[in-house]
Amino acid sequence: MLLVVTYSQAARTSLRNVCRTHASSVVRRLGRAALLEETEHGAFLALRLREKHPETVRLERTEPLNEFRDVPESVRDAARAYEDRANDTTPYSAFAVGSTHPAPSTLKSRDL
Amino acid sequence: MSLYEHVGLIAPGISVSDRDALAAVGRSLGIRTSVDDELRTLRAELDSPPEAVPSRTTARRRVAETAAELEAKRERVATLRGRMQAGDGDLGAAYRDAIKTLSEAETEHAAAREALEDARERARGALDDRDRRLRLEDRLGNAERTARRELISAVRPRIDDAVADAPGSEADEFGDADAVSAALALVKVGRIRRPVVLACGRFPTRDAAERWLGAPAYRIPPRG
Repeated sequence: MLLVVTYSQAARTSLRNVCRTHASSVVRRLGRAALLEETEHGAFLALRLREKHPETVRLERTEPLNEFRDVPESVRDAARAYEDRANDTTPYSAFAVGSTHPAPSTLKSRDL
Repeated sequence: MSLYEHVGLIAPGISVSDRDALAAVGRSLGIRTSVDDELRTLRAELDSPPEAVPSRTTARRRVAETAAELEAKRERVATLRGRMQAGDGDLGAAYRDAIKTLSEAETEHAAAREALEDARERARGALDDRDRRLRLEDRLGNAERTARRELISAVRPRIDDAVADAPGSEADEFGDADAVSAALALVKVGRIRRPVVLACGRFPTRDAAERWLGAPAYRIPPRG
């Protein structure tokens, strides 16, 4: 999908108008951002917004994350185990110590 | 918009934008609101122009172009390799050439990608600044609405009284008043230094108008 993020009031207003007028090409509106359909029409709308507000419209192409394809098992296990922890107040950094789960610094140093 | 801009000319058929004009009366009287300090701070923070966001257009185009070139060079190498494996003549020199241009294309594409990454990194900083400004602008909008509400409720009772008292008015409060009566009431309650121009036929003389309005006025007698 195409993610449009706006960084000014004017761009946000334009985005709102585009979303209102072309609802069928809008997957979701998220305040000052929106996800547009990955069609030529979606791209057309996104590019129009960037033409109109070259400095304050950012466009990204997104895809749903498949953790089973894109995320190592160690990370998936860590997330599942941490959300299942006994003590709600334990920060992850403490939780990882002495466990088989990677430390936050390790996670941060590895690209997906 | 100053009060004068709202009601500098009072004639039949004028339109008075209600809430803006009421707030302008409050401002002309120097009425303070609970958000005055906040408004001053926010306006000062937004006073400087925003940081320019570097364009990534050229860098994006370059990445796409070098990618296409790279693909073409790869295909050329693959074709030559295929023909050589099939024993098609002496292609050694052409193959080495193709390998060389492929390697150059790879270098150019890598450089283009790096340049785009750099440009995106620089833009990110500038967009952080826009992010901050957008939040300030939203806060400013909220504060302005609060100020307007407070100004309006501070002057509203006096305006209603003036509407009821205005010559030729049949209303008891601002919301029900005809535009001329409403404008007259705004002038009476607010503070206006420049003379307002009256072409409304509500006052017999300029003196009578100035006395009622408590403001300088020019009176244009109604036609007919």
